[in-house]
Amino acid sequence: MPFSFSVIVEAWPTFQAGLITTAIFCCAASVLGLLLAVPIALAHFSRSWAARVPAAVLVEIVRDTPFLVQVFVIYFVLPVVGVPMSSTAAGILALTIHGAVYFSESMRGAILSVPKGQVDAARASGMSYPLTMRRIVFPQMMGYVLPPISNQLVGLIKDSAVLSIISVPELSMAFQNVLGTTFAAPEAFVAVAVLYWLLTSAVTLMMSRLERLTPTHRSAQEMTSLLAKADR
Amino acid sequence: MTRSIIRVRNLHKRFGESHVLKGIDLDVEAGEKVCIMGPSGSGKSTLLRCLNFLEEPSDGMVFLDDRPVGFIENAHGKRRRDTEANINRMRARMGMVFQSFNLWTHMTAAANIVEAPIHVGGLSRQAAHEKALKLLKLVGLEDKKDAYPAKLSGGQQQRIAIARALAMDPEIMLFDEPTSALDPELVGEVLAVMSELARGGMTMIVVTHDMGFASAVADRIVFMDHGQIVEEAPPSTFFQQPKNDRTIQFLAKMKSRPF
Repeated sequence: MPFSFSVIVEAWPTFQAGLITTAIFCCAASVLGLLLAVPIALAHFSRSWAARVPAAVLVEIVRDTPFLVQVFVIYFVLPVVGVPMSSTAAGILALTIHGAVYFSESMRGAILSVPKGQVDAARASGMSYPLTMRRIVFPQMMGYVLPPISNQLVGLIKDSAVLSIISVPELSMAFQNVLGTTFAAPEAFVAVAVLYWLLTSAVTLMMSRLERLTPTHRSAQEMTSLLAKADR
Repeated sequence: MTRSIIRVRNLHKRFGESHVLKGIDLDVEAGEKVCIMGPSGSGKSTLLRCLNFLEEPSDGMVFLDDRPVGFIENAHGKRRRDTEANINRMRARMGMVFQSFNLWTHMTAAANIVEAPIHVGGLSRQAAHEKALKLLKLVGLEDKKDAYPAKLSGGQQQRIAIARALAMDPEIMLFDEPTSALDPELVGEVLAVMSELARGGMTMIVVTHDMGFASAVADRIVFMDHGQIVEEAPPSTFFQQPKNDRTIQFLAKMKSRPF
């Protein structure tokens, strides 16, 4: 059987709908996840155990269970205890929590990589904790936090395929539908792979643009150019 | 008549099992220059960091102008941590200079200096920059105002750090081994700025190993060993006629160093 592009063209509306759904779910979960990750990361450094312990427990639970199981728990168990769940809500919630935990771990690592002396100097000059975070720690951690977060955003897009299991009409679901109606396996496989690749590489490209703006990247660039000059 | 700007009473600091400060009592008068010397691990830096509450004392109290630093005492002598706002206000009254400079790496020299005056002191951007220029002139680095710390030598970084600490108009300056991380040829320029500051009447507490600086600038030398103050004397007495055995041993070791 020859490879037929016409199959992909004919099934395009299905693929397009799936692609858009995947993009919307991932965008929503990324934004919400990143917002949620900041307090989770900061909670680890709190003096109060009432902040530290819940954050640590959440991180452990999410890191130590498969994403598929988390999706099941949110979609099938929450309604039993009285929280109604649509597949859309469950999908976004699962992706958000999953993303938030991994983002928060990257942020925690990035905060730790800012030398303690930088914070000492800020506190010694009378800067409050929030001011120190906003003016000193956050700008310096950007260079450390963007590369791992870029990886995790790509991971998030790929993990979103799991949501087809609770009937979210996203890209993998679209792929299964096309497969079920056309039986054109090679064409559908290639199409879905290329579409995921386009999504993830768009994110990677965007993130590497962002990385170039961070101070660490700039100083690394300056170093390289200085070394290059010294060589000549 | 002079007054004590800093009073330290029975200060203890424990890190888990290790007892780093074992009952420190110290008074520093306004305008006085005190050098703290002692072998490494004797608690000098910890003492300095307790003065502005970068470390929380385990017991005992530090007073700045008769106000307890970092704690509020109730009528029964029980104490609790002061509000963050009060602690920050106290800290802003003391400038601190660190062994490893700790300039904020993502900011230029000038931005390092104006940061606290603008965001803590509430100074306008323009007023803060005018002040920064004056301070840069004082430390002899007005041409480096737009340089990032990575482009500056250690000596230049430390002079900028001194300017940064002065920008909040502190009543007292704390120096934590300000020249220990410097190449020998860069030590002089930093000590020159500090001597200039001393001549201007600034109250200074300096943890240092530099005997030349201590004997030239200090009004009093405090010698610490194993978390206690074992000897206090004016520099002439301290270096010529030390009384304590441990001081004598320490000075002998310092004098026998190759440079």
